[in-house]
Amino acid sequence: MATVTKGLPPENGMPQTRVATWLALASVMAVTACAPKDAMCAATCGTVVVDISGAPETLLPVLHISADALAIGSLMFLPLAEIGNDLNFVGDEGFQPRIARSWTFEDSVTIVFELDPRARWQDGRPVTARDIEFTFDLYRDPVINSNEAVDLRSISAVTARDEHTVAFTFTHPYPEQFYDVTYHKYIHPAHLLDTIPRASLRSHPMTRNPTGNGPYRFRRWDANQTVELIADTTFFLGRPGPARIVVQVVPDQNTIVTQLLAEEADFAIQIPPPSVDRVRRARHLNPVGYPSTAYFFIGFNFRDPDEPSRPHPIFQHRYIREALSVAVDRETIAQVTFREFAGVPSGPISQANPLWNLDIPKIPYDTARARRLLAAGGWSDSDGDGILDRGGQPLAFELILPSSSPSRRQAATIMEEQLRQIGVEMHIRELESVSHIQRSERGLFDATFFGWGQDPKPLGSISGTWGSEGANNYGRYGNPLFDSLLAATSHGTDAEQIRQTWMKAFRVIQNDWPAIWMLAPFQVSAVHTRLENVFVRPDQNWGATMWQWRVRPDQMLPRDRMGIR
Amino acid sequence: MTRFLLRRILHSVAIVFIVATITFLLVHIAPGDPATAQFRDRPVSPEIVAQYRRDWGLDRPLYRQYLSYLSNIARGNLGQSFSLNRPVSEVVRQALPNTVFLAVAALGISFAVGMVIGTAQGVTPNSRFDHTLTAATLAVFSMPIFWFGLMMMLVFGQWLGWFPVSGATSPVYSTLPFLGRVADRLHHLVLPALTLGLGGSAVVARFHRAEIAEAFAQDFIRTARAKGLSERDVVLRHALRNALLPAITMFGLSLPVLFSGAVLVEHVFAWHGMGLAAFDAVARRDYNVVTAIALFGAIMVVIGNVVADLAYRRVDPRTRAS
Repeated sequence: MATVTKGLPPENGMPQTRVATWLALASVMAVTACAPKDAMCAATCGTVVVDISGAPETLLPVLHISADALAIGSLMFLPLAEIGNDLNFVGDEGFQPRIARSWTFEDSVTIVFELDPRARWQDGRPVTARDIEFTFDLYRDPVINSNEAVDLRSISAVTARDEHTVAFTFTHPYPEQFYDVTYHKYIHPAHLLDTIPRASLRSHPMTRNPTGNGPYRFRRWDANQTVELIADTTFFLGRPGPARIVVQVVPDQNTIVTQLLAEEADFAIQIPPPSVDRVRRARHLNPVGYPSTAYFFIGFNFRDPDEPSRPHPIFQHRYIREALSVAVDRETIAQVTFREFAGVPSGPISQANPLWNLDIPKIPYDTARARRLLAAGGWSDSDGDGILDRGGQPLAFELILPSSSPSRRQAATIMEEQLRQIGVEMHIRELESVSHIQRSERGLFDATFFGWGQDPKPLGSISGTWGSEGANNYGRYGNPLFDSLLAATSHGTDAEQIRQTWMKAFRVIQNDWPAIWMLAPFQVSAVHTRLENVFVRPDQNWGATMWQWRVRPDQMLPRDRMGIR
Repeated sequence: MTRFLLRRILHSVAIVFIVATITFLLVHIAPGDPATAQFRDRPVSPEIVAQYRRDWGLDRPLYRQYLSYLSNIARGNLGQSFSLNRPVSEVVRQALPNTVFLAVAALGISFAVGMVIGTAQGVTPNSRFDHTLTAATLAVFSMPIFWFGLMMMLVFGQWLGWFPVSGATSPVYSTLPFLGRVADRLHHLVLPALTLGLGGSAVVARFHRAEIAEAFAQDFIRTARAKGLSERDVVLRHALRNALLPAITMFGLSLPVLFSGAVLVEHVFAWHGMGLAAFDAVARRDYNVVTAIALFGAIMVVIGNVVADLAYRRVDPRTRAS
């Protein structure tokens, strides 16, 4: 859950005046009426400026690829229900009504949603069961190629029972049924999209000028630069807090921090750890910390990169993987690279995931054990060069990592020295980020320093990355027992039994040592103190909660009043 | 003159074709493709990645992709941006004005400041004044431009609050009346234009100083002084005019360099121009945008050269005869 890690008293009146900036605009203040007076601010007022680092590729949620595109989309579109702040993915606990006002589990394979009759498209048309049918057809259409389609494979039918009732039928009972039909499944308008050929939807103007059903209306998008949204004061779930949201694309992380410090922006989702102190020192900024959905690991290749049909000469041996894992002081590495903003995972899991708190044994830092394991395997320093060898072959391997990640470079450098202490030579090879991904995908590595973002429901990402048949299992790790335990987590609806199965699965993969589980970051966002009621959901979908934020009436800036009618 | 122009145009077309081909090959043989770059953060199913490649024709043999690329270019179609889901022509059209705006301002600053400093140094060579300015221009020239930009941003944006930290416009730009928009754009232009322009002015000053100093050693300067002309006329009407020829060549060549050199400045200042578009496109392996911007860069180089040649012919009568 997000926590405010530093709370300072708000400044009174207008914050540090950016004199010259506002002088240039002062002349136009008079003609752009200061419509919302402070007294009205209890309802809807102010402009929130959000900095993101990459341009969104679309504003239609069904077509999103990046997290920021999804966050902007979720300001304009709603799902049937919104996931809770704890990101629970089993059953419907914690989910909040949105387009659906209620739902019932009719039997183990049917969920029936009752739509909120107040829900409207921003052109005034009601949201109906036909929109729900259309939306799920859209998400499942291979031509649309939505990222979310994989969640919908177990849905056998979506049926409108009447104008405001829709039933979802599943192929089998499983715990994440509710999650699958709600999380990131934003309802799209059938009456506006059904005449557009699916193949051309991606480039259709509607993707850049959408009509939604959420708290904000689209106003303008200066390509690659700014997206501006205006509050829909008739929004059926209540008046949004900020009257306007301006999303700016600022590619450089240092510039984002400087913009926040100069009060040219109100919010940025991610502050790099080295800049957090600058944010803390600023009286007008609050750093907001929350667990990240990402985790980082050093994945071992089980196959020989030169001849994939052969096992890897070093990493085919479990005892070597174990020795390397226990020889790395991950706590120190996490502290040095991310300071207090990272934890050490016990498996392939991020801090934001509800499974993070499972009772799984910690992996110890034990160099004596590492030395014993390697000695038992016949490795010794026969030529006195400080590197272990066996049969004339030194115990050496190459680690690839992306040059764009200073924290991974720093962690690898520390690890290189720690491994040298037990007689293992690790060569670091930095690659341009896309080259790093490509080499990892193709299995052209001994070890790769990789990171994954995880959805709250871990099954898809864990089976895809660590299951025997996983398309993103770049190290080719495989254990049928682990696969069967993963499969078992998707059957039945008993939450405790599912937790126990997950624990067994994590113990199995931990015991196979397919990777060194390095870091699970704790993310820090920065928010201007003039905003209140701020909550940032750990899945980084800042758009899902922003309509409930408020701009303090006593801390308005000139930009809050301009051009809002 | 017509033959000269025709010859230069033919050369230019050949250069542009070669650049287009080399760029196409380079971006396609670089590791990874748009699908690798797009789906980098989260594991996605292989069907989604395969479908993405099919949708964009990335599964076709390279020679077929090249032929359709050439055929599209010949018809003036730059294709569709993979990462932005928009026609590339639209991406270029939206980025170009920002780059032109920045490049023209920066070029103006570099030549105005550079020539004033260079002239001042050239007329007093080896004086303390000359040495001080030499040290100052070398210091500016040696600074990495992104670092210089960050310092400008810190001092004039964050600390003094005189100029906006970054961006080409303010968040409320669309609500401003016409004059407000002009003021807003100019206000945002100052820091990136100074960053880019002052770096360039150091180079101009160094070259121009040498040209002025050399001119002052020539006989015609002695003659001018012997005629009793004031020192001001000697400098402005004789030395400066003579030293202008190399400056014109530099001006022509600086134009494309400013377009490409603006990448870092545009990145640091979130100035959404061609440089930033190219930077993003390379990171996202957006082949069509990368090739379009390279093509545009080549055209700029060619135009810059032709303009410099024409200006040279106009200023220096000796080149007309040849």
